[in-house]
Amino acid sequence: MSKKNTGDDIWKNNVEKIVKLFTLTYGSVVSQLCRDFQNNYYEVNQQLDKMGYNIGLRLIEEFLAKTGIKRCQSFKETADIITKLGFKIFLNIQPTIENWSNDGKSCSLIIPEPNPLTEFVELPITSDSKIGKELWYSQILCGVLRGALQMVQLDCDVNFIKDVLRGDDRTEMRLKLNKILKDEVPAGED
Amino acid sequence: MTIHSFIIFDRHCNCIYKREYSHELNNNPLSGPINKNNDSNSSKLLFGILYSLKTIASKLIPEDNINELRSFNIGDFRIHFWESLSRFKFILITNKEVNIDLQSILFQLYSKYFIKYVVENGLSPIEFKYYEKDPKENEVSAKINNGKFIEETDKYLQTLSIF
Repeated sequence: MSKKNTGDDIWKNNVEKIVKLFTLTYGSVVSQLCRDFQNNYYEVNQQLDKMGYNIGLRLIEEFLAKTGIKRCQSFKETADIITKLGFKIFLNIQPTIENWSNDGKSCSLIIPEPNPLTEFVELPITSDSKIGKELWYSQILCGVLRGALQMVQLDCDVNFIKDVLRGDDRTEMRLKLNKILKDEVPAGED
Repeated sequence: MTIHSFIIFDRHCNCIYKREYSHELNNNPLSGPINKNNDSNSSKLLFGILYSLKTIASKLIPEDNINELRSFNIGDFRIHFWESLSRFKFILITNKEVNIDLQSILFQLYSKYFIKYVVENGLSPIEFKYYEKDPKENEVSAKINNGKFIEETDKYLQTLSIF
């Protein structure tokens, strides 16, 4: 069999391979950031968040075009759409929603295992235990959600509060709605 | 049946794309200007009308119901309007004889062409208004200058019987 055929064969039905490439690419981004910022993990989290935000700005458009969805009537509905459609379309996972606050403005998303971003990852065991306390490895997801939601006028805070990678019992992301943004109006003419 | 122009506004009220087609005699319609009159008064007025009509449309009905602006006539012209949830506004200006609903065509322009050639193009901006330096000075508003986007939307609109 020619090399090309072998290549074609491997390429076929290779969704798993693409996921692997994605996971590895993300891993190398995180580790490069750790090197670039000399293991200042707060800064690394922030950079990942920023990158995610920029992805979210674009991803939301694709999401809206693909689903043709209408405006949600409540934040609960929004959370439902995020988990059942958003995560499903782009990562093929479906987080569960828990711990609604009384005002209905914040909730937790539990990312199911295996988390596609962390599939082959273990935090290195070093004398410096900082990494296990400071780095939020999957922080990019928070940025993506923040960016995407902002584009549909929902100003939100998104952060991790638990991560299996750190030895927690589950990976939990907290989503909090700050306010619904108003449409911008043109600046007045002088 | 004539399409006079195709216009996009972003959520910062800027006209990020304005394609005019010239249908005068012996003229190639594609020779009309591209992104030449984005900041003209007529663009601003158009935005103002749309904004007001959109607001009044939603105020005419009880809260939580949906009443969307789709099109309206001004004299010999008809203005067709569709807006994404992310507040990109897509507009086609035609002559008044085009009295069919163009929502699906506007959605097609968004979901097929805008997504493919602008959103998924990593080097194209998606926020068209930004600041060159962090303190809010040197405000820049970019426009859609992607050759592929212009070419493909031109081609698509030309295939329509209403062009």
